[in-house]
Amino acid sequence: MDFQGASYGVDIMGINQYISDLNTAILTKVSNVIRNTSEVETEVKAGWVGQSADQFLLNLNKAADTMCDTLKELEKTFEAEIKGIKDQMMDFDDTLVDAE
Amino acid sequence: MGVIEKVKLGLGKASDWMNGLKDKFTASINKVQGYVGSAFEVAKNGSTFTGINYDSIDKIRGSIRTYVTKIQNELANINSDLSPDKALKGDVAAAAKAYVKAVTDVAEAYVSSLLAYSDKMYEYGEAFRKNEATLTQNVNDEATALSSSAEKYTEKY
Repeated sequence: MDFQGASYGVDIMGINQYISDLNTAILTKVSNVIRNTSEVETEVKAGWVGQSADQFLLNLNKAADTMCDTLKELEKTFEAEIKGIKDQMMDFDDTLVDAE
Repeated sequence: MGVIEKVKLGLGKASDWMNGLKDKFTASINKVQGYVGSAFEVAKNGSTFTGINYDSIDKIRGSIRTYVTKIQNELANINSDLSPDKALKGDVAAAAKAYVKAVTDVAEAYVSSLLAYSDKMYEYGEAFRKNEATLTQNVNDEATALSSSAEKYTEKY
């Protein structure tokens, strides 16, 4: 069945693939870029010394970690919600079949 | 209950989930905005750049800009290459769009805080350069005055 033309419904295989692709894009690619603060660290260490510089790098890396944790949190929320919606829609389809 | 009523009920429930999902995403976005705001907040008063080599400010800012651009490019790739419409329809697609938007909003909050910090670094450097120029001018004026005085000065005793 082609779901591309459907206005309401779920392509289960498509959802699974989509979530997998999103995991790769968000949890791997975006997170990796966020965690990679090496270029900033190199320039800071080359031109800034002392406690303020250390504090900035600490804040930067902590913020990057928090960002990545939040992305994981968002992804888990999304995945749980999509699973709930899929289950509910399948129940809903079953109910409609029963009604008919 | 007839089929139409059941369809309406199903659509209503999906709408409720959507609102719940958006609320959860909003909570995460607000949390990150608060965190990154405070993480770089101290810099807002310009007091945390002690020890910086002012000639390095441009390079440090350039590295922050590069870092930010890489994050923004990855987000742009998600928005262009991973359209939920390819796999999903209806409220499920809307949920996926809300998710991608939440990810974008969270990342933008982070990026914006860094860019604001970078601007404060620039302002701090400019303030230093201005002060340095004023100091240099003052020293030059003093030197000129001393020089002039030296030329005119005659021993009193």
